[in-house]
Amino acid sequence: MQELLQEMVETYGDQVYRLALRYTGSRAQAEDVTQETFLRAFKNLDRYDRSRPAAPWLLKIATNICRNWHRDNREVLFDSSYDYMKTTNPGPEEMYLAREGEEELLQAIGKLPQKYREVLLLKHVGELNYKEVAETLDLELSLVKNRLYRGRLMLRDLLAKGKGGSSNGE
Amino acid sequence: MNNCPDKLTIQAYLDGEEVHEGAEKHIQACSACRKACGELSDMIFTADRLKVDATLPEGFLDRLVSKTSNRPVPAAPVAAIIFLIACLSSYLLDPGYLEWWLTAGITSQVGLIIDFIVELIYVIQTLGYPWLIMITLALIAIEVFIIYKIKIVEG
Repeated sequence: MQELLQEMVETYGDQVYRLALRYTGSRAQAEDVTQETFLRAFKNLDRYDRSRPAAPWLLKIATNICRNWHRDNREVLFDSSYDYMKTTNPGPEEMYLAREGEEELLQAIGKLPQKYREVLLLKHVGELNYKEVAETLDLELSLVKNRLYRGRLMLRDLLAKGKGGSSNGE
Repeated sequence: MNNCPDKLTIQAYLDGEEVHEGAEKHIQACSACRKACGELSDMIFTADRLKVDATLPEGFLDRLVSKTSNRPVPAAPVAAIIFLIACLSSYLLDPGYLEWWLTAGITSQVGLIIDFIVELIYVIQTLGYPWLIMITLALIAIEVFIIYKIKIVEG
């Protein structure tokens, strides 16, 4: 059991952590969510069908935890300690622009209705395909396609509004 | 133009999903579809900004494993018991101590204190039984020593 859990963390840990990071905007919170995800997975390993990929199952658990987190923390947090800022070692101006862009993005995610946010995050951050997103959220495939389209449109419009640009969305 | 696939199909094509072969050929050949592809590609590019280049913090797996390994004692109840014993001891020594705890706002940090004790128990348990027993005995000895000293000071 322990070996299976370790294998899962090594294979899918980063994927779960990135999803949690996008949901919470905070590295500390993301680590907590990731830990809780794997602890719940560990408790329910007997229910996991080993013939199927683990990513949708784990991301489903993570999404449920993030839903609760989001309900309790309506204001999206922003933590400036994202990894890319540490590793790319940008100058002050780049750092400022990166932070501003990141903040803008987090605010836009926070404004998206949950049903669109979840599909977008699973597709773009969780890197799942349509079928896996449908499986993770217990949705019809057609609904995933629709929500993904509308979600992308809304995100583009929200970001355009944030820049003071015009909006031509729905 | 009327035979053009809908936007959802074009989106699926751009996302690398399986689409009907006829639709795929049509999208590649039709100028209106290519225009739609351009617009949808921009949307996908914008949404790709959501991607994060982050990896799990160092030591994550070790911390997780320490929480899932078979533990000799359940940490949370033990932490709560330790905290209650500490409260009770202070009250038995002198009700004034507990009153001081309350006025100093220590009890408002109960969650924090118990979390700390739980983490401490996790760490101690990774050390194995001999250490667990030794640390428990040491804590008891410290408690007895403090009580003894206080009693002497107070006469």
